[in-house]
Amino acid sequence: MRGGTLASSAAAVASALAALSCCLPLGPFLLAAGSAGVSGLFVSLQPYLIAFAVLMLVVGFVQAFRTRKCGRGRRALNIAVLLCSTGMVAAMLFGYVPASAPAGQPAVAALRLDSFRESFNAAADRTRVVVLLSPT
Amino acid sequence: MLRDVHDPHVHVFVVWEPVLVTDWHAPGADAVGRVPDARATQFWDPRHTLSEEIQRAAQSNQAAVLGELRGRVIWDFVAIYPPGVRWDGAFPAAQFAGAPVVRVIDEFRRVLNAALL
Repeated sequence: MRGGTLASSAAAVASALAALSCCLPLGPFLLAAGSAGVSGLFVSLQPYLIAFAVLMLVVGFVQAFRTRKCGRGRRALNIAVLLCSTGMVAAMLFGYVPASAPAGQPAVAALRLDSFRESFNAAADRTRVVVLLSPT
Repeated sequence: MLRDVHDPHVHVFVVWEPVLVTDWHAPGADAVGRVPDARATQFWDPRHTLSEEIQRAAQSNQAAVLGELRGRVIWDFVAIYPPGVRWDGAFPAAQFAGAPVVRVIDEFRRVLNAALL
C-alpha cells in the first residue's frame, strides 16, 4: 500500500506538472507511475502492470527526446520526471523478485501449484510442515 | 519454530503470500531470513494459489484440512502432514492445522515432536 500511495501521490504531482507544460511526457509518466503503483494493490496483475509501466517509460523517453519545441529547462524537467518514473518502476521491479534464500535452502521460487505438489509428494517419506505467512 | 526440532526427517514448506496492505512486494531478506533452517523450502505465492487450493479442499472436510480457521485467505497458518500422506486429488487433510501461528505454536510443537518420535 505504501508503494501504491507513493505512486498515487507522484501521479498527483505529475498532474500538477501537466498544467505547467504540454511538453512534459505526462501521459506515459502517469501510466508508468500508475501501473507501478496499482501493481502493488493488484498483485495478481503485477507482471502485466509492470511490463506496461516499462513500456510506458520507453514511450516517455522517446517522446521526451523527440520533442524539439521545448526549451532547455522544460527538457531537463522532462528528463527529471522520467527519471522519477524510472525509479518508481525499478522499485516495483525490485519488489517483485523475492530475496535470496538462506544458505542451504533452494532459491525462493514463485509458487506453481504443480511443482509445489511434486515437492510435497517427493517429501512423503518425511513429516511435512506447511506454513502460510505474510511477508510483513 | 524449528529451533527445538533436530530431527532431519522433517521438511518445512514456507509459503509467503500478500495479505496485509504492506505486502506489495515479494518477501525480502528480512522475511526469508526468519526461516534459516536448511530443512525448509520457501515460496512466494502472489496469487494465493495454495490458499485457494486448501480452501477448495476444506469445503468438503473443513476440520481436517483447516482446523478452526475461517477467512477468505488462509494465512498465518501452520499444518503438519505425517509421512505417507500424499497430495493426489484434493489437498490432503492435516494431522494438525491451526492459526494464528502465535496462538497454536505450543500445540504445534507438541504434535510435531510426538509425530517425530
